[in-house]
Amino acid sequence: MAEPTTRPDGPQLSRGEFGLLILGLLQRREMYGYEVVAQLRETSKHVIDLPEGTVYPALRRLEHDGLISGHWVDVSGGAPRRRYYALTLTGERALASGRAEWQRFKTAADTVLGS
Amino acid sequence: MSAGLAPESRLRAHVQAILERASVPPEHRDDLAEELYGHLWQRWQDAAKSAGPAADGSDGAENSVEAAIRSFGDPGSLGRDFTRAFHSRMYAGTIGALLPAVADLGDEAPDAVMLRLFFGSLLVQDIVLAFVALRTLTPFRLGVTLASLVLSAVVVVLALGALGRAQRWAVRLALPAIAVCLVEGCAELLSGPGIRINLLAVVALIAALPAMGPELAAWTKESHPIRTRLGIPLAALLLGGLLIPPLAPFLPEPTAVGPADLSLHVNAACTVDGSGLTTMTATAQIKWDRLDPWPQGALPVGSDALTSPVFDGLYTTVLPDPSFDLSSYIGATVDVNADPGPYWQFVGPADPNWSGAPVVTGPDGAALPTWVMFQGGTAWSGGLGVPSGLMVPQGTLVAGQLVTVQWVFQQQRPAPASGKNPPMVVVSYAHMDHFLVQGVATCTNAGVGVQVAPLAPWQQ
Repeated sequence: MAEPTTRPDGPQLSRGEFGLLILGLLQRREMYGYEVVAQLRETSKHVIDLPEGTVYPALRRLEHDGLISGHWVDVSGGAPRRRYYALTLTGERALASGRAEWQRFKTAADTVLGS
Repeated sequence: MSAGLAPESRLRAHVQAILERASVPPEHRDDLAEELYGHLWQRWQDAAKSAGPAADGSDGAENSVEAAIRSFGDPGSLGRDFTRAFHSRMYAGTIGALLPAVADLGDEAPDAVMLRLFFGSLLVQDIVLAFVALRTLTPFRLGVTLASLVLSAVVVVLALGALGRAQRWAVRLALPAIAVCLVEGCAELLSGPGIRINLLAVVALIAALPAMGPELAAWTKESHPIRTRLGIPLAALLLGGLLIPPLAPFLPEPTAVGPADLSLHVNAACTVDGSGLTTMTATAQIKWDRLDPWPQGALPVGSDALTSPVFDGLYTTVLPDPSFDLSSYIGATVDVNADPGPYWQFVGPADPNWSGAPVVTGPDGAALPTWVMFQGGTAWSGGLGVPSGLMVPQGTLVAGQLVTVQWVFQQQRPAPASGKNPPMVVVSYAHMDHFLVQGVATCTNAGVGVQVAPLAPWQQ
């Protein structure tokens, strides 16, 4: 399952890994979709550079699974309102668990690769 | 996407294109559209700002909108992602894959209309076959047949939906179905006066096939491919609905009764008059321990004595008959005037309601008139005809009920020297065309029914 991608020639992100990254960002603060995309790009130094719309199916899936919750916020200046997402308690636990799994995988991969 | 539209309209059109390709629950649709539009709007604004003052010109604005749309992603890919986000993996992998949301296709190709008519005829055929199966088939065969028809109908409905979405898999699925329908329709046409309802549609389709290919290929060029592991079961289910119903009567039927479920006891009491002619009173006792569930289907055409289409048969013959010479009746014209008449004559006791019939009584001694309502013809010619034949409607059978049938036969003339064997009565019970149980009794020995070979034509 590898529909979210990074750059065309880069490594592929699985759906679960992509969700984990979003949870990691939302742990810092509430964000709306546009911000999530921008933060992913900036934090990863443009290594993770997805088609921007890709984040919305992932956000809706995480919300459907109860890991995040969304709410609308009006914006001044004639801009469309924004849907902000926040981590739920379930999401925090899933993030902790996912992060531990990721670390274990990374350690194993590093060992294999000799880095 | 038209470049002549205002930027906001173009952004909204892009959102619409995505949602048209996604299977999103209605309650989420507006929210999602607003959220996606908000993103595109902000990206457009940011692109315009970063492009500087020139972005206020028409070309700059155009570029900013293009950049926002391009960076957002392909509508088809995003649409599929949204389908997976809102539905289970199983749904997305089956229904979602078979019936993907697509943008407005415009006018349907005329050849696609023909395919839809063909699939529609399959649906009608499924309904007709299900109705026939309900009226004729026994439980296991009915279950298998209905399951095949229901699954086939589901595939047909999916194919109709897919044709409405210009999906190539539905076009390909039609080909084996057309071939099977053609073979079945021709076989039915050759075997009798019946004609399959979709045979005409099949013939018309085959005639049009050479011209259909290019048009359908063009029409389905935007089709989403489906996996082989999904396509093969679909074809199997569709063809199952076409092939299983005609084969159902030949399937085994585990619920059917067997000879062990039927007990048949026969005895004969004889007296000899002063001229040496024998009178035999033959009695058969019949009991079913259990009966076939739904011998005529779940919705039988008729279950009472008058309307039942399915009968058991009870036949009786008294032997020996020295005048009986079957070989002289095969392929020969019977000389009625030379016919010496039967050697044994059925003389009674006549049923009070049905003249010329044996007496049939239930366990309480009361008459069972329904059993003798279908008294078989007694073709006495030359002793070839059976003295007595009853047709027993399936609906009148009762498990555990002891039924007694009594006949009186009278010897009509003295036995020739070659016919000195002791007389015996043969009682045969045919359970539909499934099996035959036969009991034999002489004037001194009773007999118990045992299964014998199927009925010979002259016994039926």
